[in-house]
Amino acid sequence: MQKRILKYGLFIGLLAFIGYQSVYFKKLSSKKNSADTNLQPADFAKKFWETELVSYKDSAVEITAFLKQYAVDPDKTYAAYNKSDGIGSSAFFLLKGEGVISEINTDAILLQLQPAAGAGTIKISTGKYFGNAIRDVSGKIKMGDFKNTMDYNQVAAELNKMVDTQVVLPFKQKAVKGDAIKFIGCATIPKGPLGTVPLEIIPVQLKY
Amino acid sequence: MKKINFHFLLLFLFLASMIVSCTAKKGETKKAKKMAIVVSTLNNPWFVFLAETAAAKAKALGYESKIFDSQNNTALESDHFENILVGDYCAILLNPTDADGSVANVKKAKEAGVPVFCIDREINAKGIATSQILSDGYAGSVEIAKYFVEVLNKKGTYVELLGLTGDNNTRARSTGFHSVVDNYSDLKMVAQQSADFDRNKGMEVMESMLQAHPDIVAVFCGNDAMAMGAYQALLSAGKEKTVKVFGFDGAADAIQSIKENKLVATGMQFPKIMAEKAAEFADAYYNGKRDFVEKIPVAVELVTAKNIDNYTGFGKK
Repeated sequence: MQKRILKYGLFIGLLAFIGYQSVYFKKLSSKKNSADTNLQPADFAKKFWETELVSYKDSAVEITAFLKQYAVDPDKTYAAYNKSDGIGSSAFFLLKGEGVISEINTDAILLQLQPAAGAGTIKISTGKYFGNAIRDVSGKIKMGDFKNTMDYNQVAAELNKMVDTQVVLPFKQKAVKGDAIKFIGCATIPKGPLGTVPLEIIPVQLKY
Repeated sequence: MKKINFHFLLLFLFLASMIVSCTAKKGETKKAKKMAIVVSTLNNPWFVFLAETAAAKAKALGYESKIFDSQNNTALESDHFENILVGDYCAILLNPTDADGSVANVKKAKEAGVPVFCIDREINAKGIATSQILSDGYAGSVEIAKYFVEVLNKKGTYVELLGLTGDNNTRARSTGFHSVVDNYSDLKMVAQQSADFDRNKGMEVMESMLQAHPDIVAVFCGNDAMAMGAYQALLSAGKEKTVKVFGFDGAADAIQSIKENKLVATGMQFPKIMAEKAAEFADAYYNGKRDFVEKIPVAVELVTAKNIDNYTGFGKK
């Protein structure tokens, strides 16, 4: 009887060992990620601009309400609305609003915010933009989605080109002082209270 | 009845063994509270600071640690990994030598059940390192480049000293810099050469560049060690006032040099934040956490004479 138990025991042990060495489970997402080696940043950026941007623009925060809230409680407002993919002392915010063009310069326009009187002035950048705001402000494109950071950086550069060619250049050609416009764009804000200089917005949409 | 019980016992043992097999993750035996800190080189104060900060944090968290110097050599890094994997270490904090060349080492560690946390430099692979805490060198270089354009008033000839060619940081910094500067047609790069992130090589390369291009007005260096070497060469040639030097890292001697108006600017990389975060992640892993963000960018800040009072070597005051 004991011999039999030993025999069965050894058999089961062997079976368990073979089973353990032969079969393992892997998350489908990790398998998908490891195969993701041929990403084309330009195509990725184009697709993102044409499909994802539409939905994330809807999540923009109204600027006059944002600025009021920020003046009262900078830390809470920063934490509530910032879009950041990493560790740093500033973050990106997606804001929207409307105003009247009060000044046109080479690389920016000044916009008197409406409708509230005394809502303040902001700066809409109309020069070439080189940073990561457009890529990061959606909160949807993460560094970890890319095999190497060069692709991740290239996506930012491609999105910046789209801002330049599809938003800024057509707008600059017809912008006139006194025009009323609507905007959606990204602001880079450091932690802590806002400074006295006008907030600068990198536009993703400028409309009359 | 006895026979039924015996078969029931066999079935129970079989199922139990299968459940154990399926739930136990390969190589996950509890290891000693010991972290290995592998850095690309200790021939640069920035990496010494990175390694020592990680060791200090590990100690504060109750771990032993040992620092391994790869001397910018992936073969040596591989030897370190062989030793580490038989040395009962619970985690590896890695500053990789080469974005592609270090992948095999990290893979080996993963297969052995030892988590790897990359610091500052990345490996070109997904799903192998447990987490990578990386300087956002591209964005940092964009900021330096914007200042470079402003200081040079959008015109002049300049040279560039690159870091190690196999390191992604070298590419990220150079590409970020050129993504801005190349938009200005009156800013012309007349030479670009690697000095391997090394101070002595930085001096040698700068000396030969000055002979070939005596009229340059600026040099952009991929790290502060090369910037300090370049400054030394400019000093010897009597050109330290006419050629503007831009570095990257935020090393203590570079910060001091900006204060003394020797260097014009650098990018502060925050090695303390990265090293401490890596040690904290390793501790969290030891205590059971498994869901780490795979890559975390750490912002790089522009340091110039205008804001130098906010900074000290390797970080903010």
